[in-house]
Amino acid sequence: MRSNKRLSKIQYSVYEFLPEKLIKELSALKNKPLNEIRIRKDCPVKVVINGEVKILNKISLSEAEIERVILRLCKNSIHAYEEQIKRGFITSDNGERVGIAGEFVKENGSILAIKNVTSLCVRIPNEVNGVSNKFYDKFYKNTGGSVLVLSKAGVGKTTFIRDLALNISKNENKNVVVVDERNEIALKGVKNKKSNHCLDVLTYADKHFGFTQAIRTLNPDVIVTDELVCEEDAISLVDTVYGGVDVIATAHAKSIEGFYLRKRFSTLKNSKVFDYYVVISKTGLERNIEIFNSEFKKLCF
Amino acid sequence: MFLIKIAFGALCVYTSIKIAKTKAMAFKEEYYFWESVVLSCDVLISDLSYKKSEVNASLNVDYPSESYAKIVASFIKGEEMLFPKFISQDDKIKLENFFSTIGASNSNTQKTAIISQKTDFLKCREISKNKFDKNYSAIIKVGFAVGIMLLILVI
Repeated sequence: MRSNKRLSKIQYSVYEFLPEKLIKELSALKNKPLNEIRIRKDCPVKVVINGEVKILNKISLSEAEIERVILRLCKNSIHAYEEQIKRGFITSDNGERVGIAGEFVKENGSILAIKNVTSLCVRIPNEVNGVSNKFYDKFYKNTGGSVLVLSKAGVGKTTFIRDLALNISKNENKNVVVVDERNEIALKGVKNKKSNHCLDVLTYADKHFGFTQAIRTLNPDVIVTDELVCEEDAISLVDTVYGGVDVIATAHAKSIEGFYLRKRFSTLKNSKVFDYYVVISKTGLERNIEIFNSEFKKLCF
Repeated sequence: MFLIKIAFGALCVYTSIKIAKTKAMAFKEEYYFWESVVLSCDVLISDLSYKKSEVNASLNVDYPSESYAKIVASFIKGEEMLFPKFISQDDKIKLENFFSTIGASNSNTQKTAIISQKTDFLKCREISKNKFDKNYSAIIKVGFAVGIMLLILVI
């Protein structure tokens, strides 16, 4: 039985699947905010603490240890996480997304499984309350509409839309449906909050299915979803907005110009479905938020 | 004096039947054990085809056998599983293989393995049922007969 006595309360959920030797090292961090843990077979573990990278030279995991991490993450039930594993990730109950790198096994053109796992990337969500308050109070509260949040990876897009969904749910009598394809948006704590009486969550539903299901059966006023990655996502989103439902989504782009130039988002650009573009950037530990209107004109924030 | 002898004799009959019943219950427990194993196979096969729940949720069932329920609880906690004495070495290996299958791979692979293992467990259940049917009433009757003999001897 694993001893829980020395575990930090704040990071306990991550410790449920990590090996003892790594837990001991992380406990020494003394409650500093942990953003990411990168585990590579037989290489020193790398952690990102409060935005800074630290290499744990004394700690490395073998392939067998990495497999045990995956088994614990799946609660010894690989079959229950089969679909996620095929897509290259597992999301824990508390929203930690663990990306998996290894050998993908294919059958008839589809991914069947992953074997010989060599890397894990554990991203730890940080529920930052109030990150969307200024945008909500100054713009969204008065107009509503569809919003696209843009930034590079790991800067805070999901945190922003999570907070915005909560703001809408808490302050307005609108039905908010969260299409949470990777179980990252609506964390356990978010799902259980009493203020979420207007929040419906579709976990592990892909966007096309989620949008269709929501419109047919859940009567949404707003749909919140994460990362748009392909043209199909964009098409589903445009159909949904034209069908009368506001959508709040995210996409990878380092700037508004970057979004404008990306070919995969040409459908979104041409259809002009978004009322606001929120661009989040990071300078050191500081985050900057810029707001643009539907014509890509910067608004005073 | 005669009444004391009758009372003592009756006590001997009661005790003899009680001992016989305890012995006979071992056959019943063995049958319930295999019945529980088959039940857990059915639950897993069904769950793997449909909800694909985590192992601790899908195995959370009321089992007829208390000893099997304890084994399942140990398995879920990752502790050593202690098998009852009536489980032979071969059957112990089969059960260990069964538990090592659970949760270790994708749903189709597990389902195929469990369906195959279930046929073995059905045979074990059949054997234990026959043993129970054959021996239970015979042992009770022998116990009663011994009790009566003791009563006669006492009187």
